Amino acid sequence: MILETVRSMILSSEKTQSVITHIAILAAFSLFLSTVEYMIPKPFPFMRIGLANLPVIIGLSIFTLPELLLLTVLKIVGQGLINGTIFSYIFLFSAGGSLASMVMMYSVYKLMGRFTSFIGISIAGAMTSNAIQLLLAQFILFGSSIWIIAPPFLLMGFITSIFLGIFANVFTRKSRWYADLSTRKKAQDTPLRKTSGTEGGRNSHAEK
Amino acid sequence: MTKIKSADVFIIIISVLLIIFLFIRTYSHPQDSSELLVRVDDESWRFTLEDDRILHIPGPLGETEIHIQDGEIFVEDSPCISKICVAAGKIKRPGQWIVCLPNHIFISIEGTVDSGNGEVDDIVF
Repeated sequence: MILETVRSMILSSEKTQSVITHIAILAAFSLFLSTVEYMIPKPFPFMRIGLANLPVIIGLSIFTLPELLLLTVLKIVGQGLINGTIFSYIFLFSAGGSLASMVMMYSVYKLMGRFTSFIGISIAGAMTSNAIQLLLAQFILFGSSIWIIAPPFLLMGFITSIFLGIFANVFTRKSRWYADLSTRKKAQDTPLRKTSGTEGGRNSHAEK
Repeated sequence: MTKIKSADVFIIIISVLLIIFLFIRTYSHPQDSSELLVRVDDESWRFTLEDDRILHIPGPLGETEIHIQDGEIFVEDSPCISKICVAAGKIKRPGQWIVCLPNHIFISIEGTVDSGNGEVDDIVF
């Protein structure tokens, strides 16, 4: 499915060419944030901040579901490479958590998008990701004793996701790059005004 | 856009309630009393150590007879050939276990191992 998405993107018009560029930018952003997170010392290995999820949150209003899926997969692989966990069981936790949280955030955004800001979306995603990781850890590795660390794990995710959500709110309000992208997406969504899209806002990249 | 909206509050409240519930459920257990945990494949049972009783636990080979006596646990009889579980003797402290591999039975005592009743296994200089 992802391969098909990629192929259709490469083969089709310049509109999707620009989409694939934006996915690449956000994926690279996610890779960078994984590196930053990797450098931050953590008291316990499971206490993660989830910085790398920020591009996925921001991508919610720009991309369609397959495009988001591609971004998430790129994020997972990038994170695995940076943390060196790509061929270990931790990679399974990361992949499961990321995919589930992306699906959760996407459904929250689609179903209740008008009533939520990115704070709520971010919290929902973090809780889903952590819950799925706990479940995977229970069935793959540790058994039911994993639930002893569940409360602080979820609490940590809750707190950091609030900050991520606030940041996403501020970012989406201030960034011209984002405003340009999201208005273009809206123009694509409404069938009345179909713009071919790649013209406007080339020079606003620098201002991000 | 930066203002918190209604569903945000809804999600926050649900998450906080969930976390509080988990905190209470996980940590408010009176952990000072230890329990006997018996596991056979995917099934498990818990018994208190307070009352003396005789348990017949069914495994693939047959019934294993486990005794709880004065807070101590031992396997009286087992249908397995090796009888290692019977030879394992009595256990009474949290963390100790007896296992009968042929009959798929795992017996352990669960509870907190506090430094008060914990013992040093060995000291090497």
